[in-house]
Amino acid sequence: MIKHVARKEVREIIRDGRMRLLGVIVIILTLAALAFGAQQAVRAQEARNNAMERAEKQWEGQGERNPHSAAHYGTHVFAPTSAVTAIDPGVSPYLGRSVEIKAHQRSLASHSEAQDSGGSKRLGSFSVASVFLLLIPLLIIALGYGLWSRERERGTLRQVLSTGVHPSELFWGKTLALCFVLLILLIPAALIIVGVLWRVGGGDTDTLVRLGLLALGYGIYFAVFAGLTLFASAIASTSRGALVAMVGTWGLFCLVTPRAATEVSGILQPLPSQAELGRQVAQSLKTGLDGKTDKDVFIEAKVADTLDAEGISEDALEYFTDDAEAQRIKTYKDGLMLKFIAEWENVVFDHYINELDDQVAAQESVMDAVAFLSPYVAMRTLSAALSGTDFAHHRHFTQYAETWRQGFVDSLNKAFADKAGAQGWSYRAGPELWKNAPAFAYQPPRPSYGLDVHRLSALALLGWLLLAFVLARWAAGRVKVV
Amino acid sequence: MWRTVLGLEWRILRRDKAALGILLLFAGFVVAAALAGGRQADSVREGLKRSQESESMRFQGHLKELKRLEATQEAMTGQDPRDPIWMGQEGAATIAILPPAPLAPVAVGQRDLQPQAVRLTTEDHLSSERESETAMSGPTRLMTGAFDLGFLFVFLFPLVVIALSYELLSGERERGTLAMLLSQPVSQLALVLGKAGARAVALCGVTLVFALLGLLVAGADISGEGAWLHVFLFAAILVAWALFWFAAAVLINSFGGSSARNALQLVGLWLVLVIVIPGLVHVAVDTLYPPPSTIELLHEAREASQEVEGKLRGVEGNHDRDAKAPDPKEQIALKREIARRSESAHEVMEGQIQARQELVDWLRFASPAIIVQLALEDVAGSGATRHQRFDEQVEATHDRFKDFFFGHVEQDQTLRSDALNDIPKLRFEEEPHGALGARLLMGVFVLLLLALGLIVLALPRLRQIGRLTR
Repeated sequence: MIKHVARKEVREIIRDGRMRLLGVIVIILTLAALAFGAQQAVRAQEARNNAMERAEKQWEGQGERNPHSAAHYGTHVFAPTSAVTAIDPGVSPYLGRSVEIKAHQRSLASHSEAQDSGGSKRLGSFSVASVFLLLIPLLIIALGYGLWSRERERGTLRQVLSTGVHPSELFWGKTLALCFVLLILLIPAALIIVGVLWRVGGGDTDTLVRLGLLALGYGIYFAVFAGLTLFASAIASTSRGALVAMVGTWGLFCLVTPRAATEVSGILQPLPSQAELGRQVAQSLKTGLDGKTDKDVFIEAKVADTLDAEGISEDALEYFTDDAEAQRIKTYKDGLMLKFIAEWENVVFDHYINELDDQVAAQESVMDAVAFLSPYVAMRTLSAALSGTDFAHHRHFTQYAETWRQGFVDSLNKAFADKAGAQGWSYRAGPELWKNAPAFAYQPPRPSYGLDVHRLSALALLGWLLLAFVLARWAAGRVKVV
Repeated sequence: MWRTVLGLEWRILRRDKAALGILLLFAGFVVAAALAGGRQADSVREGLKRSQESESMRFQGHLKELKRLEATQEAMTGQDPRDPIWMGQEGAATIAILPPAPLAPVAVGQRDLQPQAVRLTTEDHLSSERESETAMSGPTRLMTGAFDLGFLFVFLFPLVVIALSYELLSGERERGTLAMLLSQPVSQLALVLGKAGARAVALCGVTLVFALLGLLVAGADISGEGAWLHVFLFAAILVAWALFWFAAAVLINSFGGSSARNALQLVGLWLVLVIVIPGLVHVAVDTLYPPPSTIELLHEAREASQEVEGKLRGVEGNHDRDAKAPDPKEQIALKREIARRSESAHEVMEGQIQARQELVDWLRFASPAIIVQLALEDVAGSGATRHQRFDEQVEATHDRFKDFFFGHVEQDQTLRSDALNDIPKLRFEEEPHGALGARLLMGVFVLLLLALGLIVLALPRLRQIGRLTR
C-alpha cells in the first residue's frame, strides 16, 4: 500500500509543471554555484602556489645578510586551500590567508578575501552550500506543503481513508515520495559535484570522506525540513496556512536566528580591539606577563647566569678588547641574548594570541548552542567544519605557522651564534643558509576534525531529525479528515 | 469611494489578529535591529574617540617637550620630538578617521570589513597598520552579517509585505465575500488598490515610527548636519520598497490564483530578487573583475624594492649596540625609492577596485533588493562610495604627511614647536549632499517606476475582477 501511495504522490509532483520548473531551476543554480566555486577554488590554489613560490624566491634571493637581519626581513606563509572549498567557502573569506613570519613579532593572519573584495562581499554569498542551506529547504516546502492539506481540501483524504488505508501507511507513502523526488533531483547533482571536484584536484581519500560526511549531513538537514513540512501540512487547517507557516519558520531558522545569534555571541564574548591587544602585548613585552619583571634586566641576568654556568667570565670581555677571542665571546653572548629575547617574546605572544583565539572559539561555541534553535545554524556550522573552512581549521593552521615561526627564527639566531664568531654583527650568511631554513610543511587535520570540534552542532542536527520525524509521525496519526 | 475602501480595510486590519501580530513582531524586530546597529556604531565611535584622545595627548606631550628643548637646546637623543625621522615614523603618527554618519545605526555595511581609521606614518603605505580601536568581529559574525535595519528592510520587510497582501483578492474570493464587495458602489480598481493602499499605509507608518524611535534610542544623531536629508532619503527608500512589493502582490493577485499559489509565487519572486540575483551579481563581479589580491601587491612591492629594502633592513635587526645609525638623508632617499617602485602595483590595484565598484554600481539595477541594500548603506554612511572616498583622501594626506617630514630631513631642519600644527591631518570631506541625494533618489525613482509598471501590467485584469467571482 505504501508503494501505491508513494507512486501516486510522485506522479502528482512530477506532473505539476511548476514543480518540474522549480526543480530544474534549483539544479541549474546548484551547478552554476559549483562552477563558480570550482573556478574560485582553482584560482585560490593558483594564487597560493604563486604566492608561495614568490615568497620562497624572495627569501632565497635576499642576498648576503646577517642571519638575524634575515629573520627581520622574514617571509610569508599561506593558508592551504582545498577542492572542498568549492562546495562551502565557510568563514574562510573572512579570515586572513597569509601570515607574516618575522623576528620579534607574531602577526595575525591578514589579507582576507573579504577585505580585498571591497563592496561586493556584502551582497550575499553564492555557493553550493548556500543553495543547499537556503534554497533546497524552500523547494522541499514548496513540494510538500500540500501533501496532507490539499488532499483534505479536495476531499480525497476522506475517500482514501474510507477505503481502509491506515494513516501511517499514508504517512510513509508521502514521506517516501518526498524523499524520492529529492533524490531524483540531488543524486545527479551529487555525482556532478564529485566529478568536478575530482578534476579540480580533490581525488584523494580525505576529500571523498569529507564529501561523504557532507552528503550525510545535508541528507539529514533536508529530512528535517521534509518532516517539519509534513507536520505543518497535516495540522494546518488550510494549504495556505501550512505554506505561510513553513515559510515563516524557514525565515526564522535561516534569516533571523543566525543574525540575532551572532549579535548575542558578540555580547556574551566580546573581543578586544586590535589596538587594545597591541597595547597589552607591548606592555607585557616590556614588563612580562606578571607586569613586574623588567625585560632587559631579566634577559641580562639570564645571559649572565648562562655564561657563569658555562664558566665564561664577563671580565674576559674587558680583558680581551679588540681581540678575536673577545669578539667571539661577545658574539656568543649576543646569540644567547637573541635566543632569550625570542623565548621571552614567544611566551607573551602565545599567551595573548591563545587568549584571543579562545575568545573567538567561545563565540563559535555560542553558535554551536544556537544550533538547537535552528537546524540551519547546525548544518551551516557542520558544513564549514567538514569543508575545512571554519575557524577551528584556521586556528590549526595559524598555530602551526607560529610554531614554525619560532623554529625558523631560532634556527637563524643559532646560525648567527654558531657561525658569526669573530665577525660578530658584520657576519654575512648567503643563499646556502636561506635554503636550509626549516621547511614549511603544514598538514591539514583529518576530515573528522571538524566534527570533533562541533560535536554539539552534530548532536543538535540529529535532535532536529528526531523532533521532525516524531512531529510528522504524530501529526499523521491525528490528521483532520475534513 | 477611495476613502470608504481605505476606511473599511483599516477597520478590518485592526481586527485581524494575524496581521496585527505580524506588524507588532516586525516592529519589535525593527527596534531590536536599530539597537544592535546602534551598539555597533557606538563601539566604532568610542574606539575612534579613544584613538583621537590618545593622539591629542601625545601631541600635547610633544609640544611641551619641544618648548622645553627649544629653551634648553639639549643635544638630540633617541626618541626626540625634534627629530623628523623618528617623529615621522612614530612620534607624530596621526590617525585618519572616517567619522560615523548621523544615521550610522541603520546599516553596518562595509563598516566591519573596512578600516574606519588608518594610522599615518612615513612608512610606505603597505606596511602601515590599519589602526583599529574598534572591537574585532569574529569570522562567523562577519560572514553572517549584522542584525541591523539594513538586513531587516532588505530581507524581512518584503516577507512582511507578502504576508499582509498575498491574499488581497484571493482571500476575499475564498471566503466568498468578493461577490458581495463588488455589489457595493465601488469600482473594481478602487477596491484592490484601496485594500493594498490601506495595508501599505499601516505597514509603512508603523515601520517608520518604530525605526525612527529605535534610531533615536540607538543614538542616531538626528540634529547633525545633513541628518534630515538622510532621514528623508531613508523614509523614501522604505516607502518605495514597500510600494514595489505591494504592487507585485496586486499583480499576482490579479491573476486570480489561490491564496497558496499567490504566496508561493510571491515568495519565489522574493527569493529570486533578494537572494538569488544579489548572489549572482556577486559571482558576476568576482568573475569579470577578480578581487585584486593584496598578497600580490605585497609581493610586487617586496620584489620591486628588494634591493632597496636590503640596504634599509641591513641596518634593521642589527642589535649591535655599537652599530652606527644610518644617514637620515640616505634613509629618506631609499624610502622614496621604495614608494616610487611600488607605485605602479598600487595603481593597478586601485584601477581594479574602481572597475569592480563601477560594475556593482551598474549591476545594482539587476535587482531592486540591491538598490535598497546599497541605498541603506549609503544613508548609514557605511557604503562602498564613502569608504572609497575615505581611502582616496587617506592616500592624499599620507603623501602630504610624508612630504612634510621628508622635506624637513632633506632640508636639514629639525621640528619646531610652532610646526606641530602644520603636520598634515585628514579632515574627512563628505560627499556633497547633492551627489548622495541624486544617487539615492535615482534608486527610489527606479523602484517607483517598477511599482508603477507592475500596477500597469495588472490594470487590465483589475478591471475585470468580477470574473473571479464565478
